[in-house]
Amino acid sequence: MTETTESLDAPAGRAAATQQPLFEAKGVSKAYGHVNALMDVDFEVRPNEVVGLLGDNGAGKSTLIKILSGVVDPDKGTFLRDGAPVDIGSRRKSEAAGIQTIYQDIALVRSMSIMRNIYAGREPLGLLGFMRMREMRETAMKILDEYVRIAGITSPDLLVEELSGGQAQAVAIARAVHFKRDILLLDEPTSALSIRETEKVLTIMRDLAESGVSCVFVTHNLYHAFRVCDRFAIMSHGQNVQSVPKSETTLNELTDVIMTH
Amino acid sequence: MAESRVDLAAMRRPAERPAWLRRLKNYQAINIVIVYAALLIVLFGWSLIGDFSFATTGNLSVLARQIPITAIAAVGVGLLMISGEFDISVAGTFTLVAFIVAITLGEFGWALPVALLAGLATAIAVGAVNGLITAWLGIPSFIATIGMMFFLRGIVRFVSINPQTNLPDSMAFFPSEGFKSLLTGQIVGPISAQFVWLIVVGVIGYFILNRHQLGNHMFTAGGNKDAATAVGVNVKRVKLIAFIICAVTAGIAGVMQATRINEIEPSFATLSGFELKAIAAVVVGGVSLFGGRGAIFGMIVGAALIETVDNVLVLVAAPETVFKGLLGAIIIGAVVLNNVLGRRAVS
Ligand SMILES: Nc1ncnc2c1ncn2[C@@H]1O[C@H](COP(=O)(O)OP(=O)(O)OP(=O)(O)O)[C@@H](O)[C@H]1O
Ligand SMILES: [Mg+2]
Repeated sequence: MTETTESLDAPAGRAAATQQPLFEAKGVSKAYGHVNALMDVDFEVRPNEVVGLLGDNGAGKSTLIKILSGVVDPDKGTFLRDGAPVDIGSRRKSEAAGIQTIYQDIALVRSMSIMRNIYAGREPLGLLGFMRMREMRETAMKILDEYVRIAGITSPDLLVEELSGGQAQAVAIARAVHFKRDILLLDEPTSALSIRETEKVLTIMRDLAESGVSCVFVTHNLYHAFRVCDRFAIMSHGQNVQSVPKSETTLNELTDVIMTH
Repeated sequence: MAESRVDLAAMRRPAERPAWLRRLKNYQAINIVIVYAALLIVLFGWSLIGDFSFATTGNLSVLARQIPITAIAAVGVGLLMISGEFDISVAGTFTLVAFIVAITLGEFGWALPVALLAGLATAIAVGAVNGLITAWLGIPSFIATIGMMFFLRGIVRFVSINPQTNLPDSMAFFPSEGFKSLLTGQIVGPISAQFVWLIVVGVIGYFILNRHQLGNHMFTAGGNKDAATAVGVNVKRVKLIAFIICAVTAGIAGVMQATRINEIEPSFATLSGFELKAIAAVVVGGVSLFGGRGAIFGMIVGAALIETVDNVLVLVAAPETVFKGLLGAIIIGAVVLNNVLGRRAVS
């Protein structure tokens, strides 16, 4: 398959913009020492949309993703779910608010098997906290096959360190997509994937948006972004630059905005 | 898409090795089992053809009584190391818990179960403090538990003061005969009760580590702290629990030792090198010094190997310092080997 700007978009003109946002982050700031990773950033996710979170290296995209995922504490900021304030101060709380994440650094434990990685932190439990191993084994393979079917993943008992970068990324994607709730954050999810697997992930995002799971797609590939996103949020040096619906911009314009900031 | 499913299923088959072969290959403890078996063959052979008293009933039964005590402590140290932390204070915990049980039983006249509960509470307190300092204050456990080691030495010195001489002194420990035979009695031949207790601890340890959610969280927290946080594992809590388990197994070993020899020696906290022994046992047994990898069986065989080496050095009348030096060399050698021989891990 070749690189194309052909849209995977649903019929245009859905009324997403007028709806109550699914999730809002307001006035988010985060400093690492004297580096201001985020300064007073606003961000929202609307129902049934794929929003592209774009910006240069170091713009603060991953920092925002990690804050929304509850794994980094913001210095400042308020968060609303369906208009009501919500606490996302830990991974568990963020998950309870409906957020699931594919992290840029993949977040797998290399010394553990695929199966143990998929269920880490959400093991199916039986009596006294013991894991239901058979169920884990059976579903692990199904999960992998269902989303990003990738060659070479032959057994859920393979260790992640035995996998290639793309295979590991596929595991991370499958894990997050399987456990998704209402919002899926994808931080450069296709950076290690082949063209075919990348297409699959782009399609998954579109399908999820149609079925009611909004996606936040962080990428440096504007072609991919332009094909799947309904809206673009552009950041630069830790600040918002603009939020623009796809219908009001072009690929060239987007490129210009990102390049000039 | 259905087409590609068929293709992939076909591609999958040739790569699949028999399950037992995979298991064996992934089995961390296989190296240590081979090494220990070879060592035993050499030692038995030497005893048969040479003038060497290793394979006598007397020596073997001493060894079989000592190994479980070290191995039980090693299981705790190993679980903690898999969780990504060290405990250098286990010799202190071992000694202090034994003293607490002996004092509350012998001097305060408490009932044995109550005295044992006091010992358990002591162990939990030591483990909890180690865990809180490490996980919540972010002090590396290596440093935090060295601090605890010195603190416990001080406490042991204090509680072991003999009022007559005003000096630390060993203390007699005579629990009831029933308790003694339950904990360390002889069962058959060289098989003693502590051997059965080791199996109990080993089985519990296995189920915690490999079948329980806590074990999965230990591997996750020790294998990649950031990934653990990213999937919602409570790393601090897991480490706290691992520190407590480690201290409790050290305490159990301490009480077992005191029961076996009817005495507690305060110098055990300072001179025994027991913490090094336990760390050496688990590292030799394939547990990664860096966390995230290890198996219970390896820890136990590792403890057996370390105690066997100690025993042999005593038999050949090597000075005590030789053993300490050798322990250091074994730890370093095992760490290097663990890295070179590849990284077997958790399936
Ligand atoms: N843990 C950290 N410690 C210190 N500084 C950090 C940390 N994480 C991020 N930063 C800094 O914060 C800024 C934003 O980083 P961030 O990872 O959010 O950028 P990004 O937009 O995701 O970039 P990229 O496209 O390269 O992934 C950078 O200047 C980075 O150096
Ligand atoms: Mg990033």
